[in-house]
Amino acid sequence: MSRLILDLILHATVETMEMVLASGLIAVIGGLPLAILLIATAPGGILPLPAFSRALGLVIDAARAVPFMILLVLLIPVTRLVAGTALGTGAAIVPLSIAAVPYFARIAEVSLREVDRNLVDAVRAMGGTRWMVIRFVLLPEALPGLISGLTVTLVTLVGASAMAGVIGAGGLGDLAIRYGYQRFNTTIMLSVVAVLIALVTLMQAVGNGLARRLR
Amino acid sequence: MVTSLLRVEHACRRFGGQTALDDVSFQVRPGEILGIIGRSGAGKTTLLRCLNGLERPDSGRILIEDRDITTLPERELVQVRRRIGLVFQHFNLLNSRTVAGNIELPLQIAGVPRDKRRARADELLELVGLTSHAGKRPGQLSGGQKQRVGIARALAADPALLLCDEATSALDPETTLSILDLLRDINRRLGLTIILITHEMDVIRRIAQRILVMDHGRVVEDAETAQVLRGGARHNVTRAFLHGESARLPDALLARLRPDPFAGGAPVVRLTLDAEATGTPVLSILARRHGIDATILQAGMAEGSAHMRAECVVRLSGHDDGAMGFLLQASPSMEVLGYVPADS
Repeated sequence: MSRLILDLILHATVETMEMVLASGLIAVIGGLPLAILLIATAPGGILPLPAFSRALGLVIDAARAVPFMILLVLLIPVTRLVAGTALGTGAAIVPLSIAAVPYFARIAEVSLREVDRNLVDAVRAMGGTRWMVIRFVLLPEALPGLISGLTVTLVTLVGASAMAGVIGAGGLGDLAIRYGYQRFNTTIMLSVVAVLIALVTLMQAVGNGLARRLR
Repeated sequence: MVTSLLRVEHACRRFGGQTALDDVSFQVRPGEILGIIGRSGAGKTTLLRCLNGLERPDSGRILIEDRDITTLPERELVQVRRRIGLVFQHFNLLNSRTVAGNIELPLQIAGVPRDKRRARADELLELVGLTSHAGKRPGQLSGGQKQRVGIARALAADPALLLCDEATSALDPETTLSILDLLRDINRRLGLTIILITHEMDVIRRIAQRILVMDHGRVVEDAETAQVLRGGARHNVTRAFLHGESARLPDALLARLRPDPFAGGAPVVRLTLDAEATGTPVLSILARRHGIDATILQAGMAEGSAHMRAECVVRLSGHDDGAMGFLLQASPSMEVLGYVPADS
């Protein structure tokens, strides 16, 4: 393998990591509060507002129902507005984040829902406020599950970022399409697949390790 | 001067057509251990939730340190809750925190600074005998140790009242004893008022000075424990709790036992003799004065909160009109279990 190809792959890997980590971070910043809101406002939650909870769930599901490929195209005007361009790694972060936020919200919701209700009641009975319930009970007790959920989200984002490559986002997907597919360069195609497998395996291992240490 | 720490006045609570609390009134004096007993569905849980303001009664008042908590807004209710320490049946410890971290939780809720929290947690760990476990996670502890952490946590914020909700129901008998000893010790050393909610008479008998029996949402008995154990129970539910814990009769005896008297049948009675009576040779007097022979079929000793009491099941042979009267005097709670053939 030539030095040039190696450079191409390295560069594309960094771009992919940028896209995945940036949109992953936004997924947590946006998705976690949404998940907490869903749990808190659900019937029997710490701030029951069933109608609001249902409406929020509906919006989240609607966003998740749109296939990512279509979301990419649909969001081009929004992307231009936010990133100033629809091309390149930075621009791809916009649709990736918009897809990842509701995805992570639903995954985080499951972990938060599994926290023992009695613990919530106990802290309320000790005179804890709703905010204290979230800080001292919900988040720390759900943390291992949240880490596992984030790992799943990041792996999904690796796949999605490759798809974004198809419309010119850069990264490993872009490399595989332009060099591997359109120029029939099997070496690059296989190398990209190998890097992707290594990347996903590594992420999963780190995520599992962290979750286990916290449990 | 506060004469009653907690006063419940005519509290009622209904859920749909179901009455959970029906005109409940009682008082708790500072420094006493009160046991509240009832079957499941008797209203214990609703009462508990009303006491810490998680639920409001439909009518009636609940005064804690002379403040009516039924009318307090949520913000002030939070302050009252911090004056009540809660011990739970299933411990409810956070596994995301260490043992010390769990004990610090109520202090963190009350906004106590970190170094003071640490010092208090160390103190309490020593009190419950878990100093060497401070850094462990609750998941690494046994049930009894978890409940010790639960008690330490309940004590952390210097509560005026300790509420124990079936605190020993998930523990084995031996661990139950050690937890009850700890609670009695805390009551004596700190003068802390304790309310125990339970369905086990044994718990009450061991440490409660006063007993409150609940049935169908009503308080049917409110008396000194010693008095109830001496046979002073007024209500059938109380007696059912007392007998529920008596030793089971041997199967061979049960098979021969008949409910009604018959020719040549001898009565089998259960006698409960308290401290003073235990010093009286009841069975000897029975034989000498009334000419009745008593055959002991079963006997045991039980330790009450203040004194010992002996319990025995005897078969009486011979006849004397005054004998039953004498026995009833010695053991007011005497119960005729049935009759067996005299020669057996």
